[in-house]
Amino acid sequence: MKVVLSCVGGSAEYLPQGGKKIEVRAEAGETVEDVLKRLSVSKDLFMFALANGEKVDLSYRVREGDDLVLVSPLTGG
Amino acid sequence: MGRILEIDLSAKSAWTTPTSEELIRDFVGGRGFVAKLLWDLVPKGTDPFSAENVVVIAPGPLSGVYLPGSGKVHMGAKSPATGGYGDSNMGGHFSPEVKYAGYDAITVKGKAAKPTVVLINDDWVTFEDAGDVWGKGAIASEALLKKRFGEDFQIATIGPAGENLVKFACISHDFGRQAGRTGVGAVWGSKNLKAIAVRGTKSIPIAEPGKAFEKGKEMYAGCFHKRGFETWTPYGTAEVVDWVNRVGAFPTKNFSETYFEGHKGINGQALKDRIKVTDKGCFGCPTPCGKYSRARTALGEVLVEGPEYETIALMGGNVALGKIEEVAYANAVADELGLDTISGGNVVAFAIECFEKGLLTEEQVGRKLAWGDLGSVVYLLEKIARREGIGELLSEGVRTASRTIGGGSEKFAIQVKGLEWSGYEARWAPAMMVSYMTCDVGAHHNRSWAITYDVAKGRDTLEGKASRVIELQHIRPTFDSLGLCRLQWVEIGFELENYASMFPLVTGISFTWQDLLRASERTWNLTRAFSAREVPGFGREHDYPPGRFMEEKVPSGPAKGKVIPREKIDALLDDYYSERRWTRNGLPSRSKLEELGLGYVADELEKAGYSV
Repeated sequence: MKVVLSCVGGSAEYLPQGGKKIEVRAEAGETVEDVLKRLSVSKDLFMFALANGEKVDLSYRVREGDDLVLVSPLTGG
Repeated sequence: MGRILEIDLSAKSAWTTPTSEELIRDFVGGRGFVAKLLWDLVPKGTDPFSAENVVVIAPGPLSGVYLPGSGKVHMGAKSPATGGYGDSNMGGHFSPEVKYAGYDAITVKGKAAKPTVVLINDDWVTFEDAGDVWGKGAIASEALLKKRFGEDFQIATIGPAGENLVKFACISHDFGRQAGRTGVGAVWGSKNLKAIAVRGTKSIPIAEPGKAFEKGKEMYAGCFHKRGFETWTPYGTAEVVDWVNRVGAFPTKNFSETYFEGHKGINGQALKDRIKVTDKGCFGCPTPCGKYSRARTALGEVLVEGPEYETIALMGGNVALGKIEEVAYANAVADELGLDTISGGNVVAFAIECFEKGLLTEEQVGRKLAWGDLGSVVYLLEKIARREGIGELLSEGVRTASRTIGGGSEKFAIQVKGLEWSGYEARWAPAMMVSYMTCDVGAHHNRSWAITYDVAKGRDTLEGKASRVIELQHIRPTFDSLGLCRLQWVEIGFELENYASMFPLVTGISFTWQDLLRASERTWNLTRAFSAREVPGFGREHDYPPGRFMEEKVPSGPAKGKVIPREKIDALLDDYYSERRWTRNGLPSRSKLEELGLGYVADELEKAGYSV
């Protein structure tokens, strides 16, 4: 299946195409973390994700057509 | 271009000088102006608490202009905490008000004969009696002065800690925004300067107003269209607590540990669910990070802006408070006393560890101290702000306190250059470690934040880390020079090029982003040189982290077993100095200074006995 992946914030630079919206392949039952592993990107670059606008953990099991936004840490405070 | 307002508190006089284009070209504004004006105006060897020290307040060329986050102001002085270059910045609404009054910067020297409020009403500057607010809390004073002068005035105050020259006293504004670091509030106190109230009704001169307005609109729209931009506003900076624990970088029990078991009780969700009343933004902000909160504890109820991530880290995990309500309470106490919560949390944690190890006794302290005990935290903050009992020693900060207490306590006095460490432990993050070590004001995160770089490139790898830190040390402070908040860049990925294209539309100076970075590098070299000029024997020795980070392995959590031994620290410093073309002792070289147009700085350093 395919999901759409993008990123908000500073960790975008570590994703393919600088975090711009890309379509990636995922197997049934895979988590966001698994999708990142396939891209050789560490899960520790992100706090959590948005799946179709809803906040989810990186252990969220992706579904066909999901629109995933990875959210970077806040880098300060 | 506007003017620089110069104030002499001893003479009760004020005058203006035009801002030169050369100053803007070389130093841009904000932090750059603070650095240059301190270099020029503070006589070498000045005692930070003497009348000769100079307070510099500088918005930037883009402050108060119609674009996202244009409400930041820089506050500087020779730092009583470090003896070197000191500055801190804050949001709120003070910065644009200074611009609307017609000023690119304000300098304050001398010492008032009695507690004073400087009232700036456009061109009129008067010196008002502050007897009725002296001794009162920073936030209470702001409320009283608003009543006295009117809501139209934007007001910055100090609390009792600043009046009593506590070396980590802050400047407070907008009921909960602070220029917290380097003890700038204590410098105000030493001058009997309780507050500055400013009201401006003028326009900012804009080189191309039509184009600047269109660009501003485009920038706001750009922020609002960033995917996910709205996700973190409900939680504010507290949102990052879980992540910092997950990567093993959360200050816990005076940085002895890096993962706090109780972090779910003090994270963004806890803040949102249990204490948040509403969001609060600074001037022109599209993504408000501030939170107004109401918290009930056994000690009472407070209304407070916060807690921000840094306060949660240092007054939560670092003292082992596991309830967000209690962190908010400690936050409110520190804010009213006018204490920096970062240094304050460090000092309290240091004292608790000393007590646990028997280096401070119940008799010396006046009570028992314990981790996770709000009573201990509040007791110490109040003693410190009033310099009473044990507070007299602790008000000097952990470096000085550890020298007096001895018993090996300097190893867990968590500071660099005399400034306490902010909210990211870095034994397993070499780029973050070198960020803290080389930050010009001491152990602060805001010049370079690099943990994700460590994660991406390898958390045990040293190679390339110094270069990245240098790059960030030029990018991030550029926002401080422009008078802008960087959160739209770092949090929602708003593109840097936008800021560069706005600069010429406002100033008429055709700078590129690279030109701004060059000015930032110039400022970085100047602040380093300022510290060298003012701190005898300044150099590499002032860049080491505390012994704890070089000798003690992280005992538990995700970073268990990690430590960064001195030889690795030296390798990082060698890389850093070499990349900057500084000497092996960490001084800017003459050739680098001359390349940046700072030959006069090299002359001064040589006169001071340095080989550059």
